Amino acid sequence: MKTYTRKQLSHALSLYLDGALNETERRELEEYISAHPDAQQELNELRNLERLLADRPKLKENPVFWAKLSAALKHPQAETETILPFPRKFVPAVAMAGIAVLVLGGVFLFQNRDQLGEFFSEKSKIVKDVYEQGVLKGSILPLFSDIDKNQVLQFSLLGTLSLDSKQESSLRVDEEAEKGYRIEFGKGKTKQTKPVTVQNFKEEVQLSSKQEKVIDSMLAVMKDRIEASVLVSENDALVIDPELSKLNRVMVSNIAASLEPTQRVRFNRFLETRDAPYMVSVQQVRRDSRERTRQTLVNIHKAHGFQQFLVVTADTVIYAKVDINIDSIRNEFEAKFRHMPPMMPRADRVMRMLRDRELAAFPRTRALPRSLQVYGDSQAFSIEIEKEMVAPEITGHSIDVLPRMRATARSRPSMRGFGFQFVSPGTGESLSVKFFDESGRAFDSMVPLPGQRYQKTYPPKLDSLMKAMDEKRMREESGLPQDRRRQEE
Amino acid sequence: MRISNSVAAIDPPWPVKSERTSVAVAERKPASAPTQKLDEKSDDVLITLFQSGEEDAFRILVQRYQERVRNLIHSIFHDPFLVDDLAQEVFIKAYLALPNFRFESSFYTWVYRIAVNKSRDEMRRRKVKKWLSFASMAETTDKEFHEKTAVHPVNNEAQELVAKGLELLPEKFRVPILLKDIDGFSYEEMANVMQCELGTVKSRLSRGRAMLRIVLKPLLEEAE
Repeated sequence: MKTYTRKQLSHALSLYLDGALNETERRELEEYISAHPDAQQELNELRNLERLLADRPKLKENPVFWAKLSAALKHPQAETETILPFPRKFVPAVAMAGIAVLVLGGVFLFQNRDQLGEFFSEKSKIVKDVYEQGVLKGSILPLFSDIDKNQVLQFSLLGTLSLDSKQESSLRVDEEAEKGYRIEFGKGKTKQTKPVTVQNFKEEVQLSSKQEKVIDSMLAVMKDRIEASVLVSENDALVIDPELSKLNRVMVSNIAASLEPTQRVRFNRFLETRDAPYMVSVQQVRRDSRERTRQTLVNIHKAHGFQQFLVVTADTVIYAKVDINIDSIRNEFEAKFRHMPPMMPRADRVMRMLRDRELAAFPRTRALPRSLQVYGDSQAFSIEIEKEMVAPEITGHSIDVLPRMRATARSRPSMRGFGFQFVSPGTGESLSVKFFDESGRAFDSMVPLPGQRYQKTYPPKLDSLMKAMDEKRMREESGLPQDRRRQEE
Repeated sequence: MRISNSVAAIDPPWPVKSERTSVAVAERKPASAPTQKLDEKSDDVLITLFQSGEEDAFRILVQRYQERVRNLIHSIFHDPFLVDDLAQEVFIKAYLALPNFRFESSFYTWVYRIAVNKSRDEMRRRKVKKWLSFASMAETTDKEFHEKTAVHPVNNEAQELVAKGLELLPEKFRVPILLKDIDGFSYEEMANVMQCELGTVKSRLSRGRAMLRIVLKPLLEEAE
């Protein structure tokens, strides 16, 4: 008698049930079944199963099936919804591509595991330092909260803000021609030049009443930006937005854009007499004054929003993303203290913090990008920022703001710069300087000596030309015909 | 719109096929005298008529097999909400592919093959959806609702157990049982529907039955 394994028996019984065995196979199986009750039992169960399956209740007929189907055939849509964004025939190719990417990614990650480990541990350390270990402990306040319009204008044009009432320490922002921008907190009195006040500015540049309003608006926006760019925490950590370094350049550019050509000449003269770090050079102004004004305000607002801050404490410097919402800070202080604590004590604390430590020994943490240098000496704490570090300047006009060396030569060796009055854009180190002699004759000259300062003079001929242009502008603004105005005069 | 008895011998070019796709099949008169004659014709004749432009032939084919297809789908999914939608997709696919039918198999094995393939697609889709989203939650709710409200046939306990047992089987073992024991297909027809070798069909059927017998053993012993 033939013997069967368990699997063979199941297979044979299934075929037997369907009548698919030949005569020999059938006889052999029947012999086996008669000798094995288990096999007989299994056959019986299979027969019962077959019967149960055959008795399965049928679904009720759907009398509207054809009606629905014919309606669907009228408007055939996509045959079936697919969850794949590509035809199914591409599944193998996509799967292979996915596997290849995973493998390559895995190899890359494995090869760079050390750097990745360092990167993540470094990042987690920054977050830990900033938030958990209380680098920014307690409340945070803007350092410059109650500065007036004159101080805002002074910062806008000269890049300086006094930190104390005696003006013995100050925040300075300026630009090194090639390298980038610099933010300094320094001790020592700044050289007194002619005072920079809004009143002086309006008088000397001869603003119209409309322009005065525009400048006032700009100063209000600038005040907000300064306020949001330098903050100090309860534990005397200083939080600085690197974008602060170019704010005054943007402001000079925007003020110039709101002026008429002759006013820009006066503006340049104003800047020069105050020993300002910038001068303006107009190439071409395309928009009308209203559009320029609108664009100016848009530009200043656009400059806002850099969320990477430099956090300086007594013993560390960190460059990290910090979530600071200046409006909520203002609201908090209005609610808690009704009035913001006075600025000077805060500034004094910061200066004391900087003075009490050895500034030159600032550790260069790994969190600082290469384009950001922080160092100091006994007189100043300085942050140098490469130009590509800050967002590109947004200008809706073709006004170049050019760096100019100030009359007060810096004693610190780290300060570099070139003295010049006119420079052709893009000439690099070669400076093209335009001179005027007493007779009003102009001539160009290459200046070989960096650091030498030339006195720019405005000859009588130019003054008379400016006067004539002013008169013309006034006539146009008054709307009177030229001949009638003459008659009135 | 094509006229139903217009062309006989010319193979319809592709544009004609697409035009046919938008033909209002339901607008035709269902109980006309020529249709009664169509009822008596074999599947192959109906397909030939359809290929030569007789749209109504397709209606006869659908009416002839719609319940078998619906029951097959119901046996696979046990989901009354799915049956009609999936059966409709099956016949739409058949309608679009029928002009290219080459008579290498019978119509009903061909339609069953479409139904089995559609069911496989649906199973894959359900697996992915279940994995990706909360869709399964909604399905479960629908199913529970149906189970609570459905009117079950007599001997429902045994049949429910059989249905549960079938659900437990993998699709490749479930389909041969349904085709053989419920629809009475031959091995050759099953191989045609399942698109596999005859030996594979026999093997899968025997393994499926063995698995189902183990699952339903108490019920099967009781039935003796």
